[in-house]
Amino acid sequence: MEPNKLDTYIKEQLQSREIQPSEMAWSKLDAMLTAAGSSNSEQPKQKIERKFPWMYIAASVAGFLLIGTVYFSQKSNGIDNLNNEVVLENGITTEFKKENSEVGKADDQLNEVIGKTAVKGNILVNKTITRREKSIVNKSISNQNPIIKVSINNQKLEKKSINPQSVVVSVDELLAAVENPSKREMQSQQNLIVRVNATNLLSEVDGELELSFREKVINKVSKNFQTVKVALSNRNLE
Amino acid sequence: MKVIQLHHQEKELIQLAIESNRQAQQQIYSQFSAKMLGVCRQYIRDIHQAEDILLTAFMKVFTNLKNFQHNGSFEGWIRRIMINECISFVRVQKKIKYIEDETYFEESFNNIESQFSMDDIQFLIDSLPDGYKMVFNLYAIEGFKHQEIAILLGISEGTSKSQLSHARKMLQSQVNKLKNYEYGTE
Repeated sequence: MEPNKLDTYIKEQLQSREIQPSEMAWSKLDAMLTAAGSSNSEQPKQKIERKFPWMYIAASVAGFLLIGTVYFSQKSNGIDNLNNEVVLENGITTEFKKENSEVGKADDQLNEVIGKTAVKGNILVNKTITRREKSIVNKSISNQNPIIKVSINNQKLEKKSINPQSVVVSVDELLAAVENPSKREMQSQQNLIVRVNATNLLSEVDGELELSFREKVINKVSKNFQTVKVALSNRNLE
Repeated sequence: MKVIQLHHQEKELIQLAIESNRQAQQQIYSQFSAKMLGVCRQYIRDIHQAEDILLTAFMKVFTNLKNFQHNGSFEGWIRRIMINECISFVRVQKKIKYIEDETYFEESFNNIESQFSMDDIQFLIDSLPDGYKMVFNLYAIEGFKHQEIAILLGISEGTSKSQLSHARKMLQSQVNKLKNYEYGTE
């Protein structure tokens, strides 16, 4: 279909036509543009606001995870310390066994108790058991005039003290002992350095549970530093 | 030289309008609004509705100005937006039903000697049914092809041709009526 005269006539007439819009038209358009501009500028703000809840959620999850790991690691450390203590006590009692038969009996009882603790694996049970162990060990040692006395200090590490009055040793033997200490003595000395009091430790753990997160972290760091320090000093001694 | 200068000025004006410079936007609006309201009026009978569509279309012009490639004329680009806006308005408001009639007549209507006023021409176009008017405007005035019209209006090419044929026939009879009225024969 080709354009005819009517088409071209109407086209010419209409294409040159201009109708002036009303005076209010521009102000309407201006308002529309302003509204569109402001809504466009508000959109990024809303997007930013939407981001924050996710960040809060992520941060809280991370926080919970951190607290959880710290809490559980502390718990496991406590159990390890208690177990170590029991082992150390066991080591001491085996020493005593050679010199005293009653100490040997106590050691047997102690071994039974250790077995129980290993099966139960509970902190509270360990707490009571370790207390019993200590009492048994102390009783047996004090009844038989022991050469070595184990004193349990509630605030500090246990110390092995030698009662000079009950020991009758020649000067040469003593010097020889001092100059050439046996390996077992060295080990026992090392063990003594590492040994920790059970009640003291438990009280510390109880105290730690009540501490704030910051204090817990600081304590943990200081504890780890101490263990590293002790390990280094032991290595140097060897 | 003058054309190149004008083109540069237009480019600068468009750039400013893209950066939401209200003065530049107003300048573009005042430059094209009268012509574009004429375009809108071709499709929409009510002048107030046509003005509303003009404003909506100008909003689209300013928001999509960054997509203008400077390949064709800026006026042509704005005109196309106006036409699209008018078509979508008419389609939504009036829900035109195109009769799938593919019979059309290759008649030439060349007996238009008398000079009609703009109001007469607008009256002639307004008297057409919406379907005829759309196809006639797009084909005869905007210069679209039947294929393009078919895509734009969602009809077949044959329907577009038949609508144009019917529109021309109707217009011719209206022109004859007007002529007879002018000459006082009717």
